[in-house]
Amino acid sequence: MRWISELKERVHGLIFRSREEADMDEEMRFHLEMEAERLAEEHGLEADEARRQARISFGGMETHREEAREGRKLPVVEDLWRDLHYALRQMVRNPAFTVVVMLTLALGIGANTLMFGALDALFLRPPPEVREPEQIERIYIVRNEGTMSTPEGGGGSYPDYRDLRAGTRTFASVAGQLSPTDMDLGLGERAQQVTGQRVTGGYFPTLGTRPALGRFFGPAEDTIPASYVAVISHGFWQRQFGGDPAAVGREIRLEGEVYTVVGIAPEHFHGIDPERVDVWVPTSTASWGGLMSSRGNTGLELFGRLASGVMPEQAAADASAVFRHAAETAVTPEWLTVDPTPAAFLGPLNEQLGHKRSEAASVALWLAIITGMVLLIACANVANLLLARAARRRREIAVRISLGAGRGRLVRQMLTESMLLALLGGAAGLLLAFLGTDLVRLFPLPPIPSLIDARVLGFALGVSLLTGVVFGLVPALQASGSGLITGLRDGASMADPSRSRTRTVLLVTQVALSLVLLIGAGLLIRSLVESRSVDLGLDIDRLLYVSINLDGAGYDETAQDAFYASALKRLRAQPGVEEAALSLVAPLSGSGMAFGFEVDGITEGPDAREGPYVNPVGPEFFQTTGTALLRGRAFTAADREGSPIVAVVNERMAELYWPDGSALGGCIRIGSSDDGTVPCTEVVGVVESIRHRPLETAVPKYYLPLAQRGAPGTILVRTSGDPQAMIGTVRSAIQRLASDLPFVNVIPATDEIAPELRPFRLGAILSSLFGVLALLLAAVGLYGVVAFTVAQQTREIGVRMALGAGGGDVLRLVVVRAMLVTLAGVGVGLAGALAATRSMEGLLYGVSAFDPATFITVPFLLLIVSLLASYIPARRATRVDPIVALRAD
Amino acid sequence: MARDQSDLLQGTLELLVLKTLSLQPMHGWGISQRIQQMSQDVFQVNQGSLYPALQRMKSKGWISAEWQTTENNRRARYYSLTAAGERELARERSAWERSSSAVNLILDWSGGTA
Repeated sequence: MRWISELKERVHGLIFRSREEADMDEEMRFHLEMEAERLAEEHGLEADEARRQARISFGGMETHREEAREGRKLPVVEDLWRDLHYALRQMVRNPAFTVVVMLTLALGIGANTLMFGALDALFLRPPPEVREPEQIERIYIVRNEGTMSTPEGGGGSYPDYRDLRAGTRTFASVAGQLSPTDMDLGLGERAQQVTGQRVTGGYFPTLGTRPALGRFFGPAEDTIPASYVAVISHGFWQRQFGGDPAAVGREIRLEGEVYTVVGIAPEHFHGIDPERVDVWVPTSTASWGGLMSSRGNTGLELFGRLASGVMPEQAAADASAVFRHAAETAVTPEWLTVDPTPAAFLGPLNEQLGHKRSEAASVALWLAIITGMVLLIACANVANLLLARAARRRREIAVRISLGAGRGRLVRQMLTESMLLALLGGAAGLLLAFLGTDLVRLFPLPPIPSLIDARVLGFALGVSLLTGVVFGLVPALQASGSGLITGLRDGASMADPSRSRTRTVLLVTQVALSLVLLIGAGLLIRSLVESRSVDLGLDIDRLLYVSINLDGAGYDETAQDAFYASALKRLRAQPGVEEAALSLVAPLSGSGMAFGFEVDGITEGPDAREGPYVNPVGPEFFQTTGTALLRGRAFTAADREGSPIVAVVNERMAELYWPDGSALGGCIRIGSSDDGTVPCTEVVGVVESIRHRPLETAVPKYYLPLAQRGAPGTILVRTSGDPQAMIGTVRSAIQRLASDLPFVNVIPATDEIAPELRPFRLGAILSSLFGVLALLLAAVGLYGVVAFTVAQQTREIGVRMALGAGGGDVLRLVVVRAMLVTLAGVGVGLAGALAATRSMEGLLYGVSAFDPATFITVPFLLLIVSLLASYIPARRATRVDPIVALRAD
Repeated sequence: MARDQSDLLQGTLELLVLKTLSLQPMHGWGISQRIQQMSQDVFQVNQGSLYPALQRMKSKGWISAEWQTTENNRRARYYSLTAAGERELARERSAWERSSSAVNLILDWSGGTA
């Protein structure tokens, strides 16, 4: 390993050069003294003469110093310095070139850094403050239980959790969690909504998290009767208590119950899912009946920490055995179907990596591929520009070769240049990524402090270096490989055919890639438009939903009725409110209520799983939602308790159950009675169908007057303007009705459908952004290449013009060449797009993956852009003065 | 080319330095004196060029340097042979012997066919 010590010594030499020199100076002085003394002694010389002779035989000190200095140098580093210096000079000399290249790279690298940040947060980063997260596995249970079957693996019941905890020999500990939910915090005007999560006693012990303050709750507090203890997040602690350590031990009012804060979670802890959670409470505090004892309530997501040395397969077999044993021995009510042979399987802690990947995560992956393509385009672009420039520097390179510069040395120097460009572009890209962070926050990412951290910085650096090699290598090899003679030959301005071929291929690739991206973006935009223009059956842009948990605030039925009546009155008196109505179920929410029913002998819907649903509503409901009454009448105040029972059906229901159009006056028998005589509910009206879920076809539904059956759950408010602007007014109007109200939840109806539209929105916004970026890059590339070609062909153009060619001929010549390249790129790109869009079918709505409109418009757009990009430099060519052109060079 | 010539000289000088230091650690002036003595003044070492050579050899790890006091109480930089230096000396010596015996063979060749 001699080279190591040699390298060490040389690096040492670079750093401690002055010390080495001082040492050598001193020993040379010593030598001269000794030699002088010897000469004086042996030859009897005078001291001065002896010193003189000694110096003569010694030779020039500076020469020796220089020789030693040379020996100490690290040639690679020295060369690097020279190359860097040279590269910097080149960059300063061509500021326009440098700026274009850096901007191109910054856009490419920035976009990728940003997407890497998102992917890292979504897929790679382990949840913070969890001990050895790789040892924790999700536990899914496969059950075959009729309509409650979970063929793809589902959660478990609390008894399942208890069984597993007691019976497992392969998990060190197990835990369960319910999905986070909105919880009302506090009362009155300061009431607010927080995100709460109910977790089993094994939750914190299994995660191995340590509290920042106080303690966590354990299995002993997750029993009936419930212990009302709460662990709060660090962020909540800061917001709500100003970070006061005395918060531990304080009481908070959650969902109508008083909880004691026992501990504060560490700063970045957010559980094992990406959602931000404010409060964790034991599962036993769930107010709904039977969660702790029912085997049918399987909403608990289970996970466990493997005992040391246990393989996941063993643990899965063990868990299956535990569940099977429990299924054999458990006493369950007769009406509950229980699979006698449940099976368990394990999955990664991060659900995005398993079979339960969210749609947003799929979109993120897809966008990462897109940004990768954008970077490729950027590389092609820069390579092209470098090639064009190398053509101009050909003579300089030839001179250097003829002066003895080695091919390797030249390649190294040109690579240094491209690396420097790449690193500078990367730095600028990082800045762009930093500025664009909000863009990826559109994804439901974990609540991490910063998207740009050491990992992302490392990625940006790696990508920059790789980019530098990718776009620098081809031009470097080509330039250094060009023949001496062609380079030195005077007037070597005719394009070298092989080089221009490389450039053409790069341009075609660029155009093709941009076309694929733009077509993808186009399809997503069309999907977004389609999904937004779906006729939902109501005026979504004018609606607010108001909901208040009055049960939790201790209001009985009479008090609730009185409250809602005064709330409606108050709301209608607000300026900006057109109408308000009560409803049990909020439209579009996807939740529904169904009763046993019978229409002319039909008892089941045509699709047994969906509907008909029932919604008890107030008389002003249809006016408020803006849903059209098609036939008959809507409800009135006269439809009250004691008056004839009536119903309004939606169009879909009318079509399905009264296909002959006789719905009005039809009879629905709702519910059942012991003697079999269910009274007729008369259909008095038919209304437009409101979608059950925004992106699915309408399902049959009927409405009943709230005064006759049901209790209100939501107040719908129709605003005259933007509902978003009315949220505060509506909330405080209701809060002024009573001082002891829990949180008054007011959301625009558009929020209800936002989650369903989000993948399209995200995909459409980001992919069109990246698509336009790609187009811009391609245009810049085309422009640059045409401009350089024109500059190179000045002589040729001059000759043509001298021979009588008009400006139009020249213009045509240049533009036609550029357009041929574009057309080739469009051809390749169309083929690529046809292959690529098929894979995005799942992300599209209401538009085919081969949508002709998109496939025609986008290439057309691209042709126009490239026409412009080539026209501008071509115009310049027509202004060539033949005399000047012929004198050039 | 000039490079080869200097390489040859360099190599020889290095071999001589290694040999000298294999006897005992010594400072630069001492080395130059000893080489002249040992070669009975055949090798006139250009005294100054000894020092860049010493640095080179030090950077190759063959020798190490240390400031010490001489018997007449002066500060001098003493060089000594490292293990790598000893191996290098052995290697160079055998290479030298092989090539010089080859040269001898040729010089002794009397012209007859073997």
